[in-house]
Amino acid sequence: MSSLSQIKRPISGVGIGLRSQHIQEILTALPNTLPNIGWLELLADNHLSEGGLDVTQLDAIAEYYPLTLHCVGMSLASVEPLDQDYCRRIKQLAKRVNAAWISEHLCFSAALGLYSHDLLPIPYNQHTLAHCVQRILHIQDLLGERLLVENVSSYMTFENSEMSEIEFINALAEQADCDLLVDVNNIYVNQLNHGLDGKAYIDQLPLARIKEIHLAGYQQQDNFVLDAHNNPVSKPVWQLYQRLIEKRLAIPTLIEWDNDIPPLQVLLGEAEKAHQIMKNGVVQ
Amino acid sequence: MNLQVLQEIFIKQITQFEIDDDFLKQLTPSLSLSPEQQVAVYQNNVRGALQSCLAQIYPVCCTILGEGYFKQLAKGYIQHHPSRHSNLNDYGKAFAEFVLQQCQKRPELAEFGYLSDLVKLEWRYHQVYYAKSSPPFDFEEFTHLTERQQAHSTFQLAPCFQFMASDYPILSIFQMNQVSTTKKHEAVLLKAENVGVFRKQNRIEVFELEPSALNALNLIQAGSTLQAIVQAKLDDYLPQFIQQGWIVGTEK
Repeated sequence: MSSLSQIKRPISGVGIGLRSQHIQEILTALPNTLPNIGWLELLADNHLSEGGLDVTQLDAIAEYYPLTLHCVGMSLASVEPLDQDYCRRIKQLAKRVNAAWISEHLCFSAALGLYSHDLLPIPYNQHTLAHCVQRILHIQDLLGERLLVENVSSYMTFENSEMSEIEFINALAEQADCDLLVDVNNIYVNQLNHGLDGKAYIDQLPLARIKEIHLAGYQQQDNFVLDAHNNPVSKPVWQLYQRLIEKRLAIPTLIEWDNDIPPLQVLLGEAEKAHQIMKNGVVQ
Repeated sequence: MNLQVLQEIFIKQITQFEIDDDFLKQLTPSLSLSPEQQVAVYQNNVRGALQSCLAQIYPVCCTILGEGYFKQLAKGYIQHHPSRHSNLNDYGKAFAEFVLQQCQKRPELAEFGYLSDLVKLEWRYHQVYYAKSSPPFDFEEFTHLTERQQAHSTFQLAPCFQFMASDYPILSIFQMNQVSTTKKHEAVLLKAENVGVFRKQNRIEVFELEPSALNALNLIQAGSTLQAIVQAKLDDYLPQFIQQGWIVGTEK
């Protein structure tokens, strides 16, 4: 690794999620970087092996792009003992690629030694809140830095929820002193599936704690919408994004696309739209 | 229902594809989904993620069987093998054994006797892809050993090298069914092929091993000493294996 990667580089503007289908194209273009792409985000769980092809490719990319890590395996809300080995490997990866920050979802993914590899929702009540706060504080101690916690899409509502999702997230951010990653598509998916008010949700967010925004596309199913990350960002999501950006300009924004992955140019087109809204505040 | 019980029942339902009536009572209907449908969404998500994972690890098997049939086969595997690792790269190890059983059970798979070996080869390829790199064999350290120590040394194979024996032309089948291949319609030679898989710098090579090389590798993997390998008259392979990076160390 060169000396470039010893100093944490700032994250700004618009980024895209780095996916294996695009790695070769990105590597081939080096030392030139993609137009209007300020940074790349790694799905950290895909890069936890100690050797292999991925690691050498990542080292090359980390020389030229600021990187952030996005995790799915910390199981923030799980009642299982924390997987300290997982946290250790995440910390090592963050150090290796000089990641600007680490984010994880507000959900659980494992119990009884069984792993869902999905983002499972939790009831929003005081008991769950206290549990999540303690767990995030512990993780932040292990990582030695603040975590960005992301709101998730959900398809389930619990009888014993006592507060709204946004009330829960506000309390969590305050008590755990963590930062937030706001996924605008997830807010809209929950609006369609559960009837929450997306605009009101945006208006109640603690702006100073938002370090990153995610934008993605959902998929319409027969009677609900799935947060499939396999489509362009929808117009209502762009409008919610504009509402958020108007409140606090220039929050680093990431285009996520995880399934039916299109050519890199399509992602760059989505990134350009976000860039324009960030610059001009207008949904085209 | 406390948080721990709720999470335990939730995860069992979606990884073992059961429905628990007590859990359903903890849910409220959403705008468009009943409690049963809410659980079904997560069951589908879990199944879909693992099906995709298996299709990525076993692309040749998927090509041969067709995506639809492969998904059906994977569904059966997932039903009996929930993920027990946070890292999805560790999922699917027992698929070869499952496929072998299915080939014996399902008449439509009777002609695919080689399929289990093909799955084993693809698992090895997957392991090699993610294996840790090793420093090269330290000749200087070896030459400093006494003759007796050398004779009693055993050898370590590189994690990024794997091999297997097969009664089928498994390498030919693997190569002919690559997405990028132009050899799809060539006839398969009906001879058994033993296969090696090795990651050299940034490239994975898959190649045939002659029977005596396979015997030498089996001895090394079984922890045989240099003396035993010499007695088996297979020591001529050692310099070659070291030079190629397949052997990376010794244990005294």
